[in-house]
Amino acid sequence: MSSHAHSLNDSSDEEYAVKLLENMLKMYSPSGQEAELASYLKGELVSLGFKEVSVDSVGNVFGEAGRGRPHILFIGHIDTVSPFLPVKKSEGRLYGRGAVDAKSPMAAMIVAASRWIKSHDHGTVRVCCLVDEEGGGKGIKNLIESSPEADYAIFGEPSGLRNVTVGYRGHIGVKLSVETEPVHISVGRKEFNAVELAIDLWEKIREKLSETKRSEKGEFHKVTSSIAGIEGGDGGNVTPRKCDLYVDIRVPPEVRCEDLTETLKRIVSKFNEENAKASASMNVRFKVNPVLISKSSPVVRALTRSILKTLGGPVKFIKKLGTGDMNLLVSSLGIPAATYGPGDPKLSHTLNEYVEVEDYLNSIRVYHNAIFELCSMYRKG
Amino acid sequence: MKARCPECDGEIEVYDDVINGEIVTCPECGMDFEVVIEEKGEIKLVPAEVEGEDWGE
Repeated sequence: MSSHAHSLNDSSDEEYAVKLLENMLKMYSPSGQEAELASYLKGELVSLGFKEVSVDSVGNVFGEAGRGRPHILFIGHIDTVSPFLPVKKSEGRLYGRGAVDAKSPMAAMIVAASRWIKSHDHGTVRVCCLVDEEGGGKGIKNLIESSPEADYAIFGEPSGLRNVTVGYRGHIGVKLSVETEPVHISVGRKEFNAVELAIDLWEKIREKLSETKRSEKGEFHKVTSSIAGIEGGDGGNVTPRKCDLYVDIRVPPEVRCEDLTETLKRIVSKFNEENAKASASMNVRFKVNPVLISKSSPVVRALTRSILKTLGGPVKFIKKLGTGDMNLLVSSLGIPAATYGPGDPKLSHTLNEYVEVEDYLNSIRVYHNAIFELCSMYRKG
Repeated sequence: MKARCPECDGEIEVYDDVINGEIVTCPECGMDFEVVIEEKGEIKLVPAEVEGEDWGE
């Protein structure tokens, strides 16, 4: 898949845009194995005429289009979940792993930014092709550590063509460990069984967290919790001595992560007081704050106006039950941001991942016009 | 420019360059409105259901 020079404008680059996405889909890039795709994209950015093309220490690829302020980050990710899915074009759809999450938004942002290269307006678009979004977030963390100079950021994740994603819930990962004295399994008593005690503890936590629910405003505004993993016991003749529970908690903007972890600590302490033979402990593995962007913020407005001018309305604003890279950037650096991209988010991570080619091409126009909107807003102050 | 919230009469900021279909939110009651620019350039605010939820990526 060799690179070649591209003269880009609205009429001539659609074929290239489809080929770029197709090539990206063919390069299987689960988290930790993005190197081949990163190398390909670096070559494409150079070939398209981007400046300052570089790869950082974790494998993120960058390129800049345009000059001067405002500085706009186009942030996408090049890793996917597994397994690989065959790449095919059928009835106007392009199938493949990452077609939705998130190679089509990434490719669309690259093509849109490349159209800005020859612009006479002021404004710099820095395309950031990040690694490990589906893993531990090495890519976004490294970008944040570099303190990028930015006035605005657009994240490329599937939202649907006329939707702008304005919110993600926060995320707390907790490991609960319960230990007790093992006895013969035939005794059948809970106080000697770490797995059963851990489930007891979990039920107390779930009951307490459910009190913070605000069901009248939708799922996004609730605290939800799930067991993401459990380890304990060997299936033999002795009660399990130890049990580790991996708990996943999603946090709405109305609730502080710190308050929730304090609540959990109190429940664990009370559990220890009530269970003389057992000992429970808690380890907060990670904590990500929620984010909810105002509809009148500059990036949301720019995307809204771009969608209205490019495709017509109505525009919808999506709040995601999950957590994204946008949470980290906004809470760490306070850069105004919003998320947009082609594709049905419900196809993310499924075995039937596809994007409508027409939607993908239209999203390029939306990203491109959003650059004009942001530059215009910046000039007006 | 300023507009009045049709719901609570609160004051809503509307940008001078606003276009048809943009959404404004009343800072007092939190309701969303779609901006409709009428023929004479007058601005009308129409209640709009514009929020949705989706899974994560």
